[in-house]
Amino acid sequence: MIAINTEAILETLAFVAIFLLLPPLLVGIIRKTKARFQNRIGAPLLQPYFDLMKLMSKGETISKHTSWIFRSTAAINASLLIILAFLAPWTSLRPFNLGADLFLVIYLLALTRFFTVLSALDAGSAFGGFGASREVTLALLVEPAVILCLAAIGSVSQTSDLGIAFSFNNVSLINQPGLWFIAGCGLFLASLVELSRMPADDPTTHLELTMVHEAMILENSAANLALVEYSHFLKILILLGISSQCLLHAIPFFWHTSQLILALASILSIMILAASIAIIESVAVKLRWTKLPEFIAYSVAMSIFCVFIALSKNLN
Amino acid sequence: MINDPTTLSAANLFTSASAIWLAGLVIIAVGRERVKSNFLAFLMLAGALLTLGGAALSWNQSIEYNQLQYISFGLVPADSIVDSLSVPFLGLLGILASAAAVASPCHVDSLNSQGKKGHYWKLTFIFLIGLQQVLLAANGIAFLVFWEIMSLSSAGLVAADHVRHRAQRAAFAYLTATRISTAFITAAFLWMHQNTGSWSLSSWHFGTEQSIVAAALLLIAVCTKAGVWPMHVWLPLAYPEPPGPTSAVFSGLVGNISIYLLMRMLLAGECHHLGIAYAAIALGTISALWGVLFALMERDLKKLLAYSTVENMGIILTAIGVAILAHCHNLDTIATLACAAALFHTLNHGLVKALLFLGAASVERAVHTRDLSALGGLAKNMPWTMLCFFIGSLSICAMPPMNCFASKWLVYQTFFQLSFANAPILERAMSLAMVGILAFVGALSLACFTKAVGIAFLGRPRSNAAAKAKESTTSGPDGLILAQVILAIACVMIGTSVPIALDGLAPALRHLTHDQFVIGSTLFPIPQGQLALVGGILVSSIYLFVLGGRSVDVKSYITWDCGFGPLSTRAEETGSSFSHPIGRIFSQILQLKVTTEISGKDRRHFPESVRVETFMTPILETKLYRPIMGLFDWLSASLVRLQTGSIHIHLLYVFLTMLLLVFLGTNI
Repeated sequence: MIAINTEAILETLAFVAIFLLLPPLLVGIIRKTKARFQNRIGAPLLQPYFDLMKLMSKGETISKHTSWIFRSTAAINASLLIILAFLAPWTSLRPFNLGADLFLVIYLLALTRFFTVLSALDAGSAFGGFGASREVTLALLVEPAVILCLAAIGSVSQTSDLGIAFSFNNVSLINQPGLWFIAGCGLFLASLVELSRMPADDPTTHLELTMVHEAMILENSAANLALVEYSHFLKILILLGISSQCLLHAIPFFWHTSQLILALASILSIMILAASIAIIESVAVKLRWTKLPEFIAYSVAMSIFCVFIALSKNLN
Repeated sequence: MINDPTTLSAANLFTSASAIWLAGLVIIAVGRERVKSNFLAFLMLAGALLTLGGAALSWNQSIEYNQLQYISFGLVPADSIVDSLSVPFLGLLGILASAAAVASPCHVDSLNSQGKKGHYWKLTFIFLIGLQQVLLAANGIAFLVFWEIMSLSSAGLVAADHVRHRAQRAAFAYLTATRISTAFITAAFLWMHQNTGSWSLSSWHFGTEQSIVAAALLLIAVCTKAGVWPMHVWLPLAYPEPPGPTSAVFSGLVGNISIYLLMRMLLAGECHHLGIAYAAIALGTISALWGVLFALMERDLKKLLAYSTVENMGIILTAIGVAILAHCHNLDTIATLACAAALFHTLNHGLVKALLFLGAASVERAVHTRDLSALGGLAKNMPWTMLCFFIGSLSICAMPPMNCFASKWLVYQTFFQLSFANAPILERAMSLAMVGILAFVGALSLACFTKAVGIAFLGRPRSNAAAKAKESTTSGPDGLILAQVILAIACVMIGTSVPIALDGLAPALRHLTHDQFVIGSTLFPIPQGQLALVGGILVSSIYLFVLGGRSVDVKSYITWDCGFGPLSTRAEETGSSFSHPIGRIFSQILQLKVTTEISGKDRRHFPESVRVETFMTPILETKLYRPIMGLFDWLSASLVRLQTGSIHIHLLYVFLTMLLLVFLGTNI
């Protein structure tokens, strides 16, 4: 049980405040960085918050062909991602450990995808349909990479509980900068695809031929859209958080430092990763749909390297 | 032992269940059209509930009884045994038979010919008796006899709609598969009898050197009957054919009974052959990948479900393989996990697959087609079917907090723990690779079942029949809907109380692992029930306070059409187009070809008509089975020459055979 004391309550409050308030800021950072790369001033850093607030105050329009799936998906996905934010090891500042099982985390993410895909098919529009079709195709290619990176880390620490594997006092993982770094890079590349970012999908365009995520949420409006967007922001936070945690574990300094520095570093590293997404999107182009498996192969290759390292670690 | 009151009453319950089903068979044979279908369904339900009661009474202790001893099969009497391993399967039989019984009256009343009604009831009763007695059989002979009764009656059920070419083909394919599997089982049983001198199933041990042949024969037999690659080709033909209500029992138990046989022989019989373990893992892996890939590409809703059975049988087989492997290396925790994974997933899959087949039957009844490209938008007209099918799909994709997530988690955990166990490096590498493959299979099955739900139930109707679909024959939900609701509730309840379910399976696990200290509830540490509760509270509060607070303001409008005016339903995504991107990635395996014909004057820029066709040739059927079938055709055509029709030649054959026998008798 969680011991009730002031410090724990404060930590919990800080944690909840961070994961509720940080996600839109990440998107703000991405958009601002991209604007600066394009020599624009860009929208204010806090624009995503304003957008969400504006959406909340609008009247909702839904297609008459939809079933109960459509509106409940927004609520279900938001709650699933809030649960994931409590479970998944996306930050070092975790006042409690609820037992973040590796397979549970992956399957909760898959559950959000299940609902997103169904709600995209619900209105019966052609856009939703092919967005959904592309989403499941990408997921299929990325899923093995994500699970293998995390399973390799878990295998070295001999537990499937990510909370223990990512805890900075796990002796079996202390001198494994290679494993952590490759896993972090593999997860980051996989997150680009999972989050519908640039090489896989262009989040700024509404050109139907290219989009994945935008096509799926075309029918959502007002509070429903706000919830969907917010869930997507939260997913950015969680996935980037997990990759940044892997990268932090690769740096020996953070193994011997205080809790406060760790907490600050984990928040800062998520922001840096967000900025690097913006940089990638500024210098790289969106890949053709048929070229994507080749891009994802990098992520899969990294996950296979992780597996090799994990196997050799346990060789004795 | 027989004098213990609980023992006796459990045995009585099972025997009376069979007796009631037998009575039903006699009544329908004698009474014909005078018998009301409600009465027969009541008999079926009573038998099912008695079976369930017997399983509940004997779940913790094994009972041997011989109430059927007056039926002797020449070598041994029909002994029965209820041990901890058969209890979970008997329980599953009870649940599925109850669901089928509830769904039966409305199905039978919709049949137009008296012959079909009689056919349905008779075969269903024989099928149920066969299933129950196979699970109760204590010796090899009784097992084979009831196995045959079960196989042949189910073949009759497959041929229920026998005037159709499709059903004839399915029945022949299914019969071939059952013949092959029975032949191999018989061979394996004879081999074991030769080794041990006993017909009793529990006295057979597969730990010896000589028993490897029997183990291999059994593996082939089970793979054939369960539909594991490459012997799965009959399965997508036969599974869709049995009439609606029995398809639940058929799909939920026919494959599972053979898995039960494999568990009883190889796991409980302590098989210690690495080769068998590797073969099981390899076949299971290919089967899982192959099954889910073909399921995804399938247009027929029931065939899609059938291919998904191939996938799940593969996953179960890999778990059994790891259990044997762990036994070989003395890795007790992994063996326990693997046994739990195999057993729990078998039961969960049986339950869920029955639910999904009932859903597909309900769709077929309402729309008169199973073709996904003619369905769509059924959620409006068939809310109950949609909800139940949705729950089943969540479960079969192993989504938390459903029951299959727990069993799939156990499978994952088995492989994951093997990756850092004290095993050879290649096996550890294999186990991590398997984690990746399972994730891949999981993502494919997510694609497959989002397609099934999304294309069949959501969107706009793609045909007139789908637009006018009516869920039930009466004003309220009828039997078929009720049966689905029962199974869906069972799935959710098992999913949210996994520790209790695993505790219930603990005696069976002790039987399988020979470890008396197995505790079921600690195998699965994730508090799924609590998570579901928290999730439910969160979802409802978000729905109420963020979305529902202004539900008055929600405007209903057309689906966005880019301002082109109302789009026809032809613009919607179809099942084939949904799975096409994945199909292209695997076009080598699927033999997927797309031809595009553009015609018109300036064809490139202003085509007048575009015609796109996709072709898929099933590679195994054409490359492997067609040559084999051709060989058989050729052989039988050549043998026909022997049969000249002349009595003299035939007398010559008799004479030559006699000579041969005399020669053999004197010289050997």
